[in-house]
Amino acid sequence: MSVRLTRFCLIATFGVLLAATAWLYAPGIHGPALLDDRTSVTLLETDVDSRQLVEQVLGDGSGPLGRPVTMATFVVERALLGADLRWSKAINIALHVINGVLLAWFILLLLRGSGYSGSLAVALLAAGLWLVSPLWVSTVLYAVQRMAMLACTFMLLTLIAYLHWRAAYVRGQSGVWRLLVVGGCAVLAVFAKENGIVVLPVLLLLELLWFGCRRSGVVDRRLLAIALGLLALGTLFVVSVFLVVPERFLAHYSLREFTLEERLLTQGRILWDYLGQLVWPQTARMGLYHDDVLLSHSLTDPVATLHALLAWGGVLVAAAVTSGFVLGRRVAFCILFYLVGHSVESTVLPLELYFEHRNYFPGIAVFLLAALLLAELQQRWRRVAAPVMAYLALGLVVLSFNTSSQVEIWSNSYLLRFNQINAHPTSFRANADMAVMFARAGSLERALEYSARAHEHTRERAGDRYMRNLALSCIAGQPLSATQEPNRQALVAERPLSSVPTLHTLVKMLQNDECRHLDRSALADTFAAVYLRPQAEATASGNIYALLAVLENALGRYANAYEYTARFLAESPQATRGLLMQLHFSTALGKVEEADDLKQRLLLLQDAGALSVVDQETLALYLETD
Amino acid sequence: MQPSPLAAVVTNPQPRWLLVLLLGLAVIVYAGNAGNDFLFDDIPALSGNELVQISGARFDEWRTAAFSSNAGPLSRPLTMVSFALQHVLDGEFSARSLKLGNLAIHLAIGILLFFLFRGLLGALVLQGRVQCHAGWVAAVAAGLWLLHPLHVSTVLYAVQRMAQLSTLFVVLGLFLFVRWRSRWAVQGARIDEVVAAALWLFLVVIFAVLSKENGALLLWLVPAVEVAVYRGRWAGRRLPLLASAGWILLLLPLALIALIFWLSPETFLGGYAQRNFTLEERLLTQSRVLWQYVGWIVWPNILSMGFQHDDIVLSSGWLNPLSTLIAVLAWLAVLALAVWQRARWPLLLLAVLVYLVGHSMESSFLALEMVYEHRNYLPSIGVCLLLGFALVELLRRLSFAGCAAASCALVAVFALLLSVRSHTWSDDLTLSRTNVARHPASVRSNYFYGNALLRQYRLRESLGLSEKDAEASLAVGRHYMELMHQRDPADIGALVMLYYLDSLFFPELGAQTDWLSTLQAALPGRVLKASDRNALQVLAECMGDGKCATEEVEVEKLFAALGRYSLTPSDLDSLRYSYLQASGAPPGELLAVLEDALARAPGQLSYYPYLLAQYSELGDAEGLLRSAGQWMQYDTNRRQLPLQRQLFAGAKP
Repeated sequence: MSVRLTRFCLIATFGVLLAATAWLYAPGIHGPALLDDRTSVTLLETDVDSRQLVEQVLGDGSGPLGRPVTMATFVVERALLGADLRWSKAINIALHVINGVLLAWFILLLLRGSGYSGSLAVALLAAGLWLVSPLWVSTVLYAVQRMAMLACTFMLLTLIAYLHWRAAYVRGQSGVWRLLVVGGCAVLAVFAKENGIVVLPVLLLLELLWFGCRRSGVVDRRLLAIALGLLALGTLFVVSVFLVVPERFLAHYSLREFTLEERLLTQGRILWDYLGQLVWPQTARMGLYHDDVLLSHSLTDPVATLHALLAWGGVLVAAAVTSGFVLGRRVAFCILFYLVGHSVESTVLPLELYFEHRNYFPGIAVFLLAALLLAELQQRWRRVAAPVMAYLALGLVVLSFNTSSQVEIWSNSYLLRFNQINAHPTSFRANADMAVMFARAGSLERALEYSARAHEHTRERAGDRYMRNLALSCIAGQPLSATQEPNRQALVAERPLSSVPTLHTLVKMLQNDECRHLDRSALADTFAAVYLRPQAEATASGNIYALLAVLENALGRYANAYEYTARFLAESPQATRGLLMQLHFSTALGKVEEADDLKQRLLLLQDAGALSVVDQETLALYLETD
Repeated sequence: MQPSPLAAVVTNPQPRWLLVLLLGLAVIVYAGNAGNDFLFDDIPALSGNELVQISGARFDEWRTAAFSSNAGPLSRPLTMVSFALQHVLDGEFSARSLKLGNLAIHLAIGILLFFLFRGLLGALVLQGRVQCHAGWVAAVAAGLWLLHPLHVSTVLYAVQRMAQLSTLFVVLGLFLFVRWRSRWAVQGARIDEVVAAALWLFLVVIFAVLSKENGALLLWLVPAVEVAVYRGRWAGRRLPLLASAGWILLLLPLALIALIFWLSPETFLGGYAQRNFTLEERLLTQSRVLWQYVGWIVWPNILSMGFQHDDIVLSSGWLNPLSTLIAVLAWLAVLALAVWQRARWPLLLLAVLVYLVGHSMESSFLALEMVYEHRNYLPSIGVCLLLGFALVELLRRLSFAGCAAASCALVAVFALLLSVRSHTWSDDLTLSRTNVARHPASVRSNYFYGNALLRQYRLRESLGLSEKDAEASLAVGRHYMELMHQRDPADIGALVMLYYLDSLFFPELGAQTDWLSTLQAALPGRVLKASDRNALQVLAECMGDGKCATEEVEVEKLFAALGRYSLTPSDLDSLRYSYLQASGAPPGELLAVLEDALARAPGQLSYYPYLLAQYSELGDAEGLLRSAGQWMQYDTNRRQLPLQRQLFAGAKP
């Protein structure tokens, strides 16, 4: 077979694989909205003017930079195609396929640029294996994770642009515009999701370890100095930031059920678990909820922590030892690619412990390593490489089957919930979901059982469980029995409530009067007795106060609402939501001076551009009444 | 002088035309008799298997179709995918189409066999151990295998595609091995070439095993070929180390089997609890059965072939019957002769080893049924090669005209035998009737024929039978059930069917015999066969819907006896459920049976759809959700995911 025909056949086969990937993911578009989808995607309005469009693009609170690149895709998608989540998921599938193509391109350039022959088949196979890995189902079919996917797209483009720049540089061309493309793509990656920043250290490691800063076989000292300098500078910057303003990154540990030390120790194990799921997937336990992950309290509790950290140490030592050889350095690059790729989300930041989507970019390292070893094998033992590739192709079919079953699970919210609870019976979220499902089916008793199990597996307060039980009783349309524990006594505590989502659900139902059997005023009185009576010692977060204010507002009890909002503003004086609420309650209570003062503060915020369009419209209503 | 066209054809060392001719003949005979009936196990595996009847529109349907078979520990996914593919292409299951698919595989194996035989003979000719026209012998041997009437029960039995695909990959693996090994015997090879070859071969083994588990025998057949044909030859000389390695690898599986027997005998012995014979009886009987198979291959007497061979006499000792001892001694003698004369008659050793190794899984210690013709589909290839060689040698000694006449006669005889046998397999009534005619002592043949007649009676309207013919079918059907009972008075299936038939159609006969009491008396010590279980299911429904009027107390006595002697609690639950459902019991009562059954065996996935249906009928959303969750929990490989998905299609929690 001629080289051209072989190339055509390989590309055509890869095309079929791309189509098959889209096909196997297709049923997943019917899946439900999940967790952050509800705050970042489904809340986006479709019937909005251009100012509001811009505000939606820039107004997401998922990360410190607002992830405007990704939000722009959601906003445009919803403006053009309507508020149907299926489109969001379909676009994610398309993006996944595109990422597969980009990955194949990246691996091909990398292998070709390193002198490996016959690398097209290797690159396409490695990218194919990545494409059909079941670990990505929870990224591709979780609409909001377009953030991780789009960041990966731009990170891959950054790497590809860099490889093009490098090829030109080796040829003796300066390629300034190519460098600009590299920078542009990196910026877009960061604005798609902040952890796009990891592409920069990955890129520097690529130059240092994979290419050894060589140009025509000779070490380019200038390139070496720049790469090392940038790497050192970046490291210094990160360390300095953590030393100078640690609270900016670490303060949120107070909201978590683990400490910094526990997180770091646990991540040592989790990083191995991710690897295991990439290499030998256990699809049954994959999913969105991993809040049941066993926390490492110390090096020996559990002892797997020590084993995991020693193993990582061993891997790094082995990588260092073998880095004297070209192949060893390249293997070391793959290892560091994985670890650096995880450095933002799987190290010190007080994020939740385990999410599969965190592997979407770092997981590439595993497939790159496979491609590297296969290319080496092809170079040295060409005959053996062919059957090994056939085995990998068979593995690809097996992975596709795993992925397709996972997609089917994700295509239906019932199946997803059952799968979660069966795989993670001690997950708080899985049990809470089951509670809601049974409540909706009218089985309050069963719902309360799951609620109790959810409570067992978290450090939530008894008050939160009571709120959840009240919400479940509303959903089921049945009152809680008088003997049901916990009861209102659970609110008698120093800090009775901490779960904003649970209270939010309950308040929303009470506000909409969806809970006929529950005496809203009596419940509000209980809250008032807990938080507002003169000697009350109970405290709550600002968001809890805000929600209680909303409840009192629904009951027309503006004085209490005013008090709650005052507490909210005491915690967040510049919160526009709090200021607007307080303006409303002050006006209702005839506190003219305070209302004027609030209007002035809000106008100042408006001038500073801190008010959203909706906030401005709300404020305008009060200004018109003057 | 130019040779005449005929002479050119005859002296052609690569007579592919002959192979094409034989392939064409096989196509004509098989395609003409494919019929459109599903037979026996086709029904649970294919036409009654919802999961394999896919539209192909969803990717995951292919996965669940692949693993939808209960046959074998690995579910034979490759074969099941081939069935699913045909369902997608045809839009439905057509028995004829499936059989034609089997025919295509048969032809592909025939072609591969030609190349395999030619390669083997070429290697032996090169070593000077055999003198022959390799191409001619290969074509004749492949033709013998292609047209052999013994293989009709594989090719025209849709579900036996499992055996076919496994054989296809084993033959492919052997062909690849022979191709590489012949070159290495002359030129030697680098280590990477050997490693690559081993990897390719192992890949073929995987495909063979995924078609049917006995594809693993390829790993054993390779050393058999090495020992018989190559004998340690490498780069033009004989390496004693390699020759020894061949023998060690050939004997290694025997040592492994012995080790498993020693360490974990239950692995193999567990299955005998479900059989009416012991391990010793099976091994002794198989020594005779293996000679019977050889007889069929060498002398294809289609009058003794058939689907059911349960009339075979069990060997309960070395001398009971005496032929057991003779058979065992004869095998030892043949084996010793083949090994002793391996240098002179390498094809004999090859044929014996391929035959015995090919039968080692299904015709030895595993607790499978005693006789099935399809078990010869792979093992017969070595014997066919030996026969082909002998035949060509014989024909060579004749004059040209004699040779041509004998060849034509031979082909005609094989085509005729194949044609007659294929016709027998073209529909289930003809097949069942032929079976019972050739094996009147076979209880199962009587049962299947009786059942086929009763099915004809049930379908009398759609078949357009006159009232008289329909009643004749019914009466003759009962007659064969009675014959079945006479052959084996304790046969459960016969008693059940007789009670069923007499209750429903022949009350005056039923009054003469208390079938139910006879049935209960027959239960102790009796291991139920699949046909017995089917019959009990029919009976439970018949008693439930009142057609077989039975006092409730009698029903309970029967169930108690079945629970005591014959059925596991879980199987009894299934029977009780069928009875209650047919009797129109309220959902609550049915639910109680199912919940009890699942409490005992929560992994019994087949109960969940019924459980959910009952909860759905009761409008019990909580029960429905709880059961669905449990179903998913125990369906660990997600094999029933399409059914679970259908349950919640369109529902939003």
